[in-house]
Amino acid sequence: MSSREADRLSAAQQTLDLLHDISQLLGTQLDKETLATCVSMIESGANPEALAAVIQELRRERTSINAQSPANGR
Amino acid sequence: MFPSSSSGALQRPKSRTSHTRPPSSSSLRPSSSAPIRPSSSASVRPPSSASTRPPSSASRRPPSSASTRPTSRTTIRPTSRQASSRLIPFYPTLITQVLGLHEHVEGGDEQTEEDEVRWRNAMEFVSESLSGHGTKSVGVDMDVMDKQIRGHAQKARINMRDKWAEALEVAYSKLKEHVKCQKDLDTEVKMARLPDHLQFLLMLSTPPTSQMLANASTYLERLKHPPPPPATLTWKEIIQDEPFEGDHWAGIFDEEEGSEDSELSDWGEERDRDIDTDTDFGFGLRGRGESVSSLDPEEVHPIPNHKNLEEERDPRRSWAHRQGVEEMKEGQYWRDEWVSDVDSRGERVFDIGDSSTLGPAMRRVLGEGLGAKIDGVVRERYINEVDAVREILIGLQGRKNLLIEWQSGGQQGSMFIPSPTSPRLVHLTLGSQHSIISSFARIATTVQHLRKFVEVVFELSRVYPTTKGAGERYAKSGRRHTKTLEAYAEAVDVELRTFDSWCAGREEQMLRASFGVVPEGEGKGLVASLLSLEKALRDEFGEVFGVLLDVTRRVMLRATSRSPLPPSSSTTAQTTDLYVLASLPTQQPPSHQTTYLLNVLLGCVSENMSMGDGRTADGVMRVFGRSVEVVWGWVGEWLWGGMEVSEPGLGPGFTGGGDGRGVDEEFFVEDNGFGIGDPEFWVEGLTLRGGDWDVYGRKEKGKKSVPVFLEGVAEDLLSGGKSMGLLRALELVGGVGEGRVWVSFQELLVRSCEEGGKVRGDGPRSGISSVSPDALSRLVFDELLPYCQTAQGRLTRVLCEECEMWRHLGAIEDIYLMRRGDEMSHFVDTLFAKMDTRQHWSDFHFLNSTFTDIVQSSTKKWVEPSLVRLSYRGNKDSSITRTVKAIDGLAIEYAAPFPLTYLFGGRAIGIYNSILVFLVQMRRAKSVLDRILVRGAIGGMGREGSELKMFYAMRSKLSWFINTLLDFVVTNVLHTQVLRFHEGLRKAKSLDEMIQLHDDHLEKLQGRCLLQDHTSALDRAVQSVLDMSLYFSDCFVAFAGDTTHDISRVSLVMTRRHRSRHQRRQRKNIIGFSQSLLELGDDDDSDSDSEHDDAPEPSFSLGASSISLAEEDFFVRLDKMGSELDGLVRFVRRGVESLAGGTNEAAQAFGVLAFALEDWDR
Repeated sequence: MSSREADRLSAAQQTLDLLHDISQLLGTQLDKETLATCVSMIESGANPEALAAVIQELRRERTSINAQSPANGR
Repeated sequence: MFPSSSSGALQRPKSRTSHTRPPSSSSLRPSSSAPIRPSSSASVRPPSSASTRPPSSASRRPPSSASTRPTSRTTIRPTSRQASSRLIPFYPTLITQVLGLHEHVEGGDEQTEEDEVRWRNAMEFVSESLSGHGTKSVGVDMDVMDKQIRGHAQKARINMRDKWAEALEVAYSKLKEHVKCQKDLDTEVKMARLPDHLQFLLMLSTPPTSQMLANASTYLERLKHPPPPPATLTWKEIIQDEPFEGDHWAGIFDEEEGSEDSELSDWGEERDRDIDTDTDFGFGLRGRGESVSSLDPEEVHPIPNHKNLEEERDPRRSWAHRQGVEEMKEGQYWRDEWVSDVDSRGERVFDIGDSSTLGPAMRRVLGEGLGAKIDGVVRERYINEVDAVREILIGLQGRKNLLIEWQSGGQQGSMFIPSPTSPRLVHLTLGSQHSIISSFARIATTVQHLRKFVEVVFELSRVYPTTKGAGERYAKSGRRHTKTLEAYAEAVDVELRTFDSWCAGREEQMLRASFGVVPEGEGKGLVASLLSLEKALRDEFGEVFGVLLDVTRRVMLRATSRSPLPPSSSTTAQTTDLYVLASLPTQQPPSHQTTYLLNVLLGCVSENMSMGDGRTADGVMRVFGRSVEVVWGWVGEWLWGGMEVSEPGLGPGFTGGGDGRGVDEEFFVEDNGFGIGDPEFWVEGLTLRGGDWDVYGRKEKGKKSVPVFLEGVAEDLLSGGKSMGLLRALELVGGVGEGRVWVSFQELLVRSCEEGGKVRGDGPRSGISSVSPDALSRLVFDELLPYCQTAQGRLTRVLCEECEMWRHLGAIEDIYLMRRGDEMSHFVDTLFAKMDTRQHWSDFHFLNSTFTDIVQSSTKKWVEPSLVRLSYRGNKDSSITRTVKAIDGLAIEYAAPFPLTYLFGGRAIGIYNSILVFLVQMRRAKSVLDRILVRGAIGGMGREGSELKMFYAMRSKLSWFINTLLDFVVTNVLHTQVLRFHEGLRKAKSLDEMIQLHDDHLEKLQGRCLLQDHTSALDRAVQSVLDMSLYFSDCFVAFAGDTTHDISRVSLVMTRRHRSRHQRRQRKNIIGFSQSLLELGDDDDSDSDSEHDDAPEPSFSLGASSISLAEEDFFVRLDKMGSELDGLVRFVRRGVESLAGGTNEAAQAFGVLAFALEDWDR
């Protein structure tokens, strides 16, 4: 890998770190990996609003699964 | 469930901004694969599982797709027309990360089937939701974001969350700055997308919580203090590794092969391996972040190629540097390169005004050869006195230095001596320097010996553990020192540390002063000279270390010596190194060692105080105060808890107290192994340990092994602890020191010093100062006595109130001292009646049943018959008709309940019994005499009146003596003494005092009844008189027939309503003044015995006589008896007079008897 590539990656990492800091401050409850996925998706053209809505919906679903699991005796 | 799966038509989730979305095209989405699914496999599901499932979920659960499951996930993917293909790879990742589901694995069980359905629904939902907006950008620009972020910050500030606002702004500005710097078009995160990212985050944001505020603070803190970079690879680590193993060796051989690029290419390869080139972004997927972060260029520190650079830049190779180093070395007095600023080459002539010329001049005068021979300094190197003082201070702390050195195993033991290679001082001659340094060497030696002693003691205590049992075992075997010695070693260690820190402080002061750093108040008038140091040492510490060394040596010699003799003063013993002594096993009992140590210490305090050396005395007192803490702690435990009580045989009431605390081997109280139920336990069970040697090793018999300052209170301590233990055994324990706090010994000393200071008017003094042994004893006495008295008082109360001591004492006195006149008289009369009729009177059952009957017939219950047991232990052959000694075998036992057994133990009851026997004997004699009647009828028998008068006279003489004696015993001995005893007992404050009073009381009774060994001759005389009475009675009966009558026998009749035939028969032989009265009183008796109406028989009967002596012999015998009696009475009188002439208390009582006996001659 060329040093240029490495620089590029490190810059990306720094950006991600900074975004993660802001994310933490705002209390988005996104871990670094999920944030990385989301950033990648937005960079790939995903609509941020829709993505946020999807994440919220997925979280709700997760809550319901978790609530259901003990009820089923799992 | 997702909206889509529940309704069949997709409901797009509402965004946070609440703008309505255009109707989704997904409504046109073909229905899921559900219709083509086979019938649900739910029917085969186990009912149990189904029943527990919520019905809603079960009913909506899509039918299993197991059988017709599409081969690939992609087949069920909605045919989203606009979905960006670029987004599709992210969907599974996103779902996994957010929802926690994983893609279905073939052959999964039912559970995974359910998850599979969820997974598919989620995939559909995500793709539907995102494909709708696809790549459409909402179009927010950076300004909007700026505003929004500012708005958030402002809002937070209004809500007093300044930190959070600040953190947000800082983070935001950093981000912007960072992205602006990224001019590269290929960057992963583009500036243009930044608003989208921010918008995304803002939409997910939640109101600040405390956790977020904490995060903000942490974030700001991290910015201010960035963490240190991770440790880089060092040469040391590389060398430590196995050769040519490890990553850092990877490039070496390539480099050696001469390929310049190989290192780079290796790095490149490695990075390529780390980063998945399939994805656009290195941080995109699980686990990637770590590999990327490890490649953070900021954290990677490439190893520079220093090879040539090092040589070029090494400052050590420069001349200037070398020069500097040499100059510095010259300034260091301990180096050979040291150059003194005094011209010491000896060319200067002696100048009396310049002290620095003295040393060299002297040396020059003495000459090289001679100088070398003088003990001590041989090399001529001069240092400044300040430096010499510093070296001495270092040496005093036991460290290596230039002036004194440790020489071990010399003739006089190990010691510090002036170093032969020590540098000289210019203003001192060889002799004076040697003398001064020798003085310091002595001090250093003393201190060093103490240090080594402390070290050995600590080491031994570390090697042998202190667990209970084991610690004592080691102490017994002499492998471990006593706890007090360990405390002493610690106290010495504290003093040594004080000494060391004083030395270090002084050195610091000097160094500070030499650099001009002199804090306020310090270093004022600081003189750095050897002599001033010596004076300061003396002023500060006195002779304390010398004294401590001496004490330690004495104590260790004594402890390790086999004989109990005081430590020998032989040279060998005195020069044996202390640490050698401390390593030897000890031979003396631990308590002796402890007592000896404490006594010697206190003795030293006293000696030094008397010599006016307050400084030394204070120092030794401090050590004493710390050393004594161990014993003091035991004293506290002893007073709070008492002795260990464990007596399994005592039943449930007496199990308390035993919590495993034994009396320590070292404590001055000794457990002699008696059980608590043993009557001797109180007196013999726990005693003060004996030790026959005083502080100075002088033999002293009967001396207790109690530390001298506790001697005054030791007996009270013993008694108090025992009282406490007994209370615990009786489960009546309460805090003995209620309202009192047990203070440590040092606190006690400090308190007393403060009080003493106030009294003297010189203000409270801080710390511990020496107290004279007498004052200390008084102090300890005043401190401990209240504890002892409380415990003793409680026990006394318990004994009197709950154990009914007075009731039992009364019963005992009623029985043994016959203070219960009627009942006991009835009892002995019954016995005498048996004796008179020559029946077997000593039968066990007869004795006990008679006594029980008499007690029960009494109106007042004065004794519990079950506690009393009568028996006869005498020789059955000895006839009661011949001697009163036959009564000696009568024994009455009174079983006092626990814990009164301590007071009325076997010994006490034995003495009581002997008094009872004496009383019964006298009464027997008296009763025999009283039965002899000399009446006018005898005259009618034709006898000479004078003959009978002789009998009468003899009887009167005997009666007079016996009555006098009995009267004296009953009135002047028993009654008087019992009253006195009761009076004393009421005032008694402890069980020990009660026991002591009781013993004294019994001793007095015994003595005054002439029952003690030294009055045995008198006792024998009295016995002879009593026997003579019996004999006289026999003679009289032989002479005159049975004319005896005992009026007291009436009592038998009165005791029982029912009269036996035997009694009636007896009564017929009685003629007495009470006869008619009795007969009158018994008229109503319906007894129809034929003998009842018989006329009274004559008061004497010839046939009753068994003595067939000639009549003439009677008078001879009477004469003999008379003279013998006279002799006996005079003997007794003389004896009693001599007793009355004594100076003791008994003299007064015997005076009464002597006075009474004076009438014998009249």
